[in-house]
Amino acid sequence: MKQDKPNPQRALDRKLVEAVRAGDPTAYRGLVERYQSRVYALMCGMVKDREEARDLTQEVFIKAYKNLDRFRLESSFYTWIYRIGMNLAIDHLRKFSKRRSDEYDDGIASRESDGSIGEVHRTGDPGRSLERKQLNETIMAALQKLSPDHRQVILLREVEGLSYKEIAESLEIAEGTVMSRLYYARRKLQQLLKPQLARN
Amino acid sequence: MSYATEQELSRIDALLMRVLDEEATSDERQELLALADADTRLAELTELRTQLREAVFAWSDDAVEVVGAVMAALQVDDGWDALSDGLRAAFAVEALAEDTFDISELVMAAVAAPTVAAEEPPPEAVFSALHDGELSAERRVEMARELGRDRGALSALNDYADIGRLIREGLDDEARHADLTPVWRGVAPAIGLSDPEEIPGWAPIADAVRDAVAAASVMSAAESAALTNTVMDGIPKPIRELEHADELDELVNPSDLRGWIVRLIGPAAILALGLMLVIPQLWQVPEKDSIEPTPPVAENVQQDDAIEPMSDGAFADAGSGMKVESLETADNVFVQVMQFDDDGPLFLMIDDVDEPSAPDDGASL
Repeated sequence: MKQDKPNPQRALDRKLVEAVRAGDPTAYRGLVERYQSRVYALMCGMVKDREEARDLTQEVFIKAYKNLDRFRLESSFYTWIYRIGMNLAIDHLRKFSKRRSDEYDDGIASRESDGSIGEVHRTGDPGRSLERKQLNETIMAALQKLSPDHRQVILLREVEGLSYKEIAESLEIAEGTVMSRLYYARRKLQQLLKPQLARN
Repeated sequence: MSYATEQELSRIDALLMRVLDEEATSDERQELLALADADTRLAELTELRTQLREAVFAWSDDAVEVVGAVMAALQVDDGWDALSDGLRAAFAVEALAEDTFDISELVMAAVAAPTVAAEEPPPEAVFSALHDGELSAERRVEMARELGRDRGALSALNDYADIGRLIREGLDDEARHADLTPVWRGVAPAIGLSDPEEIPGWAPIADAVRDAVAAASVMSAAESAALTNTVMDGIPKPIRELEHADELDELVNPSDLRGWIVRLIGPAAILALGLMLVIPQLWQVPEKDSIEPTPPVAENVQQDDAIEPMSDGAFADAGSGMKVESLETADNVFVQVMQFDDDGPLFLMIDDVDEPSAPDDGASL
């Protein structure tokens, strides 16, 4: 019988979780520092504001800590926390849905006549980093134009690299729904990012 | 089993929002509970219904007491994890203190997720799935043929790849440039650590170190005096050091020594020389013929602790009783020591010869 290769990342996570469960809360810092960047990136994709994304990242880890006794050691810690993160982000969006209607249109990006998001034009240093920053703003704005459901699947697929099956399990939806949502999300992004894609 | 329909879920969501915004009328509250009750999954959990009822109509401490039972009922792995999570969070002490019981999370998490109707993907979605490698081998072969004919589909696949890359790069960039130190600082107090930088096991060591330092700083009078003497003995005394002039430059920088000696003794020497000029008797210079042959310098020098032995540069004025000793303490520092009597004041005159320094050719830059 073929033995699974030991996963050093998972083994370390397991040790840290065990240490926390054994009464050493400082060991939790190891888990926070290992995954905060990935969780934050995911949250940035889900909510538009960086500060909100950071607060949500913090909330994800607090919630995970409080429920750590429910985490199964044989599972991936990250898979567990991104599910918590996605649920928190969706709840957050639901709660604040009233105030976030098209905020991006006013503040950051403008719509072109074909529906795509125009480049952000700012005065100042026209260097590469600024160009990159502008492109990032445009991508974030485009992501915010998706519905939370579509945003969720595109992030889990493109950022986390999950398979349709994994996404379906994670979000408790059918695989067909994953396929459908991904398709619509991509089609919308294709339209929103037309100038950027044409340049590529 | 009856689950709430999509329309009913939307209505529940809207009603919950009104409850949370404290705008719901009594009828709306009744309607919300009726809708929630219509879902068998909620109806089966009597205690949870009680909880919800309490939460919707009035906050009650009694509601909190049954949480344990509800939690136990929700432990089963039957898809109620989200609801269980929501309840845990909502009934956490902080939530109670802040009076922010959010039942929308509980109800929606429980009833919305499992009842989402499976979407039928449109035929074009197959390209998206092809891009993701989610098609079977046979289907991929079929699609490859199709792509050869359909330029638009090929272009769409390229766009999908670019979209994915742009999203990944954008989010990576965001995460790389973000300052995430506040995350741990925020998490630490929430999990019971008062100091986010706390190192486990360090506190007793820190206490011991602090005690040891505090104990060492308390000194008896005798210890204090001994320490003072040791320190004072270690400070070079200029006159004594002149006995071993060749060691002086090892002890102190001659220019530093000159500085303080000139500042302290220089004005005194000038004053004394001025007095000698004004009052010539002080010199008691004898007539030229009365000068007796000067004995060898070495014989005439009064040996004392301060000046000995006379070097080549030393001389004594027998008439005035003044003894002068010249010492070269360093390559270009010249010291003259003058004393009028054995017990008289001692004057030090220090001079140095500045050698022209080599011009800086910038080679060291």
